[in-house]
Amino acid sequence: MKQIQLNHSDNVKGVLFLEQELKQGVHLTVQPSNQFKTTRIVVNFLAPLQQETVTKRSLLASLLETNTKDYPTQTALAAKLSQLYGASFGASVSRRGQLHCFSVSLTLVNDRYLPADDAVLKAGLAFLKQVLFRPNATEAGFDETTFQREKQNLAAYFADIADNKQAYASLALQQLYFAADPAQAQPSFGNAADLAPLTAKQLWDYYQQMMATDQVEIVMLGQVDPTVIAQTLQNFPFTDRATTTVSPFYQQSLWATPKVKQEKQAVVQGKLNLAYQQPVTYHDADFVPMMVTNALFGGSALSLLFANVREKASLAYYASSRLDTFRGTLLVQTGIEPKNYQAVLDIIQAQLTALQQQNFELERLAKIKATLINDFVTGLDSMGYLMNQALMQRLLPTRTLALDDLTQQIQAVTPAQIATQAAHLKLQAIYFLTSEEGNA
Amino acid sequence: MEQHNYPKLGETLYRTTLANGLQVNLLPKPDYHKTYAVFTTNYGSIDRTFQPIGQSEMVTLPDGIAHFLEHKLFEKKAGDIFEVFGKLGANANAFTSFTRTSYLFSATSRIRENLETLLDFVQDPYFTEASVNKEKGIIGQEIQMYDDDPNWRLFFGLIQNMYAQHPVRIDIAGTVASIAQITVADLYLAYRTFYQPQNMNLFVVGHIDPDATLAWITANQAQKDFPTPTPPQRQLPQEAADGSDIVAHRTIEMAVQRPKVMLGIKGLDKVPTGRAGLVYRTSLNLLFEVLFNDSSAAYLKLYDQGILDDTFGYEVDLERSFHFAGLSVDTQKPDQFVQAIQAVLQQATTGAGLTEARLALVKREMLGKFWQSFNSLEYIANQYAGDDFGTASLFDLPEIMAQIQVTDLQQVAQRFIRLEAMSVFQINPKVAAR
Repeated sequence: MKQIQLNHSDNVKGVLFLEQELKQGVHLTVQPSNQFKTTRIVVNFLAPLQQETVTKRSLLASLLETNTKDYPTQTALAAKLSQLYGASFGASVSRRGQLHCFSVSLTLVNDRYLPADDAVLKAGLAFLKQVLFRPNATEAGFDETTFQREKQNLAAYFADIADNKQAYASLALQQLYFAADPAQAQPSFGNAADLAPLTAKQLWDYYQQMMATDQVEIVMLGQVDPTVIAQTLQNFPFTDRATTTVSPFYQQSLWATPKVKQEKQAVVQGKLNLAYQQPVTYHDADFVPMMVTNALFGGSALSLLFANVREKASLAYYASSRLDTFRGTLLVQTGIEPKNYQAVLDIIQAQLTALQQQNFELERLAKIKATLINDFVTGLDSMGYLMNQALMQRLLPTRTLALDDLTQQIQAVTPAQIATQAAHLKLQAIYFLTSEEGNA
Repeated sequence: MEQHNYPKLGETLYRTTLANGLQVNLLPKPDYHKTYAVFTTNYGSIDRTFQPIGQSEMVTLPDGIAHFLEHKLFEKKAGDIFEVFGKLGANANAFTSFTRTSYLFSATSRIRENLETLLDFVQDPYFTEASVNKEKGIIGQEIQMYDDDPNWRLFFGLIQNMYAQHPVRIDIAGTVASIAQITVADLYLAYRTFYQPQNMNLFVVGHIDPDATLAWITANQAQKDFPTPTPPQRQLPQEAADGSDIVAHRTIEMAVQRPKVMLGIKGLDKVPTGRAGLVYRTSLNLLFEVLFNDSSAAYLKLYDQGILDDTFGYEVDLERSFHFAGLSVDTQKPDQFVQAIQAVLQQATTGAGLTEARLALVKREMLGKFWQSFNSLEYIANQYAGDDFGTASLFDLPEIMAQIQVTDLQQVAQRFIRLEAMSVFQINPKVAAR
């Protein structure tokens, strides 16, 4: 076992990462910490993003968190978690550019709060092993009853998205912008068309493939002895596999003209969402300037979009932007009265022009920088943030950025750099969800 | 300053009441980088009718005024307070509930300046006609957004069934028509009555030194003059004690994929005050967990029958002057859902399903979740500030949970669960919708 310094927080607390290769392609990172009342372990399975596997992985997450061979009903599994002092357990899927991540997560109360004979760490890890390696299946496939019900529930979940207009509109924009690439265009949690034909046998086959071939990154944070953890996890029957060679970064070619789509539904409030293409990737040389540009544009409550579209002109209830440095986008989302379509579009464009012409208050920029730095320091109080950082460091070991460097780089961003970054933003897609009587 | 040690929880809480009546709670978390502060007044959307300070008659102000006031306090002559917090590198926000209004910030540096900004902006109102009128557009948008949210409509539909008169039936933000009536004078009237220090509390948690922090707060408050404290006098309409004014069932149509249904039980019993009130709420929570959580027999049966899925949820709301429970789900079988849940509830009044083993398991889980929630500074502060159980607080929950027995759950079930207190609200898919 080797010890290395944790890059992003070494100057904060001297926190140590302890790392070990359990098998080829199966890696453990443990970060001992007394800060939290809990210990969390996340097992990440990483594979190249493919249209035909995303929905399978999504349904598999539902199945693995519902029951196992040892806890064959969801109530038996829930009772086990209650027994483990309300352990939080879940399986989920997510996308990082061209990678798809299947994660199983278990959060346990630190044993120091529990009566000695009630310790949950050891029992929790044994439970995790059962979940991963003893699913509720035979050679014929996953348990048919469980399979059919979870398939039905996932289908209902897909259908229910139409009821959440904000989520519906962001997925519709994604569909529009990535129209040429089905794997990027679909939701990271799959789609109804790919779900319908799936069988219990096909999913069982896919489970075995995933367990045998996906790169595995295990991250653990909490009050633990890393040596004991490594020994315990050595007993998990993982086999050697290759580490993925696919870069997480994705960039599509430009559309000649922005793609425009308007949809009418029985809604009171319209949703106007825009996609810009941007060239910056996670922690590259332009990362910090682009991050500050986004925060100034629409990425914070002090941004130009918030100030002008919502506060100054009262045109929108919400207006914000988000940067994705794995998929090369900056997305704007707003909730507006349908009749304000053109006014909001104009005012968004005006804010971008203001950035490109360095036409913004230096005081606002200073506040944006202070807030960004505050957000990064605040991340050190979040288990989720710390564990995601540990995973990113594994996936992109050359793209590290210590907190001190990050802070200095944020402070050093100039208006000229912001103008340069803003000039890189190319409007590529406009999606508008409007009322039945609305027009644009 | 009182010091309360909770060794089982690994926390120490400092508590005091300042000369002007403001209650101050400090919880140091030395391992954390962040500090979170929330400044709360005991004033929310249900406080529409009250006796203004210095007057002898009750007045009723337009619905939504508490929430409107919350928005307007951020605006000052010199500009927007968000900008001041921004300059200090802090994130600020506020929220209004049925009975509370809270203002908060979180920051990793310049804590004293941030704290003073929080106290000063809330204690220095500045309302003008122009800014009040502008706000009406912004809040109008907010109200419309909630109109499109089926879960919000479901929740309020049920509350309106259960409460014929009580202002909990009115949307916290009011209506576009009611907020249009709000005037500068109304805002000052509400402010002077409810933002007196003795009607407020401040909770600070995070990377703080309790003595230094208290000294900053005390010095800040000592500079300000406040009128003689006058406890706010509120008035609520009477509701039928036997539940005869409850609407038993109502259905609306909306653009939803599947029917949504929520079954409610209105609390017709009287909630004790102080610690006993917290014991009562905890017992109700445990009762619902025992009957319906995901390791319960009812959950498994209904899940297997396709009557519920993981959209199923339940909540117990207990606040000043009202309490109720609600169970909701998205399902193709709403009638079966309602029948099955009602049957479980009815049987619980005879003690069915309330066993030692179930209670022990549920307590274990609730205790574990309780520790887990203490990772979140926001959770601790918001929970503490939102409750009103005298000197008892969430820090006492492990002890309270330990004291509750099966017989307590039976008693709570008997007094709370009544057929005549139940109501159902349902949203069906609009046929013409996509």
